[in-house]
Amino acid sequence: MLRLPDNIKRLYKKAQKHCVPIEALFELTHRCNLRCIHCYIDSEKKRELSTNGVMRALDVLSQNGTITIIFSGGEALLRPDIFDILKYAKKTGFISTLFTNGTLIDKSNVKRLIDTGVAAFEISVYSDIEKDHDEFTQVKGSFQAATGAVKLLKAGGADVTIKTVWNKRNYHRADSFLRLASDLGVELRGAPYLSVTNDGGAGHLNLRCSKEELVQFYTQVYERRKDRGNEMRKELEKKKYDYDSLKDKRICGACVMKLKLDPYGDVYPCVAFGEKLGNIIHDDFTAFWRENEFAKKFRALRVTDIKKCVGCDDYAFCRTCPADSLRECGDMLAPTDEKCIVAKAQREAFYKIIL
Amino acid sequence: MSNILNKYVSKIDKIAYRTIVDEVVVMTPDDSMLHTLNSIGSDIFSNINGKKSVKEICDIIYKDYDATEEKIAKDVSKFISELVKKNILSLSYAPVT
Ligand code: SF4
Ligand code: SF4
Repeated sequence: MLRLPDNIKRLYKKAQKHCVPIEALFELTHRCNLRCIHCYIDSEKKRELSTNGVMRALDVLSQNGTITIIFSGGEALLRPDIFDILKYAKKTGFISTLFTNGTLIDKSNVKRLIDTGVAAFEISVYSDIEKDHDEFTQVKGSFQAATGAVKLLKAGGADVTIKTVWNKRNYHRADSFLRLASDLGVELRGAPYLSVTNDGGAGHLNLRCSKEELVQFYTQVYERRKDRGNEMRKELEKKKYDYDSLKDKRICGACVMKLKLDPYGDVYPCVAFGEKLGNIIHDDFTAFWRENEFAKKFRALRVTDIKKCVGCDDYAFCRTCPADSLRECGDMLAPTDEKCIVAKAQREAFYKIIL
Repeated sequence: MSNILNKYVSKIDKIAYRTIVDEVVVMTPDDSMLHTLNSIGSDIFSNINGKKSVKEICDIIYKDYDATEEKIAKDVSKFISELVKKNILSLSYAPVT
């Protein structure tokens, strides 16, 4: 996983304060060769930016302060110009991460891919069991291809992480999943959140873990981290709900220090918000970034504006997301039940094992 | 450090940089390093365009900072020489067009 030098972390704080889009996620295509059941993207038949268009978009981002960029999809490697795009990003000073399902990486292209200068690769793996992963992606052979890609990238010296979505089908296999990651020599990251898709699809939400399942899951997590108990207790103190400091804190980085670009050049506040701010090719980026009404309204909000969360005991464990709230509850200041359930389960397990 | 005041200074073509509010961060692709410049360094860097001499840059900086001309000349020359060593800037006897 990409680890930023301290001097850049400091700049992130400055970007957050002054609304500089220091971090971008660029969906290079919405086409994909897998059919993951939780995928939030709906595939449109629109014309994607050309290679030149992507490069122009990168130029605009660089002029406006973007340093770190995630290239994702769909499956970004379906673009035949992906190598040129990644090389151009390196040449123009971006620190890039590539999100991929790994299935298109093989012996014939792995060196070329690493040589583009991508700083880190993140590959989605949904289970340590081949059959379960392939059921999740709905494509047979995708597990072998993804784990094969991890091995090839690692052998080539790349920085690789595998990431997952913890859900009803895999939460009880965390230990063996971690063993798989360790055998592959990579870190496994995951979160137990499943969101409503861009077109309102919610069929997959029945895969969300129940509170009891989450308590079981986090109990295992904290059992493994018990030796860091002291450190975690101190961190917890710092993260507790404190009205006085949170009344000045923005809810998150969406359209503050981060943005999302889609394959057509449309700019959004972040990966999860559907509110379009403008088009990076056809509109004046600096003007809409500064003046867009939604962005101005969102930037004015503070954590304490989420009334349900005021004083919440579970706040330190919570990853509430205003975009999810908007999709699921129609109000970005109304936290989803999912976030509250996960936070409560995590706190329960933490108190049982660590405190 | 030799006297570089009469030389012209430009940014090396292959470096990339960003301005975050008032701070410049320079990326050197050969070693993938990121160099953050402090506030005066960022001001100096922003004035470098191949057409100004080090002395002209000193004159601009002198107007904005509370220090003697000698001190500014020394600090600006030192800063530029360091970035020349890091392959971020280059010096020439004539302006670069
Ligand atoms: S918390 Fe949600 S809305 Fe905020 S940046 Fe993250 S995904 Fe976007
Ligand atoms: S657990 Fe629920 S109420 Fe508590 S902070 Fe999170 S979203 Fe807010």
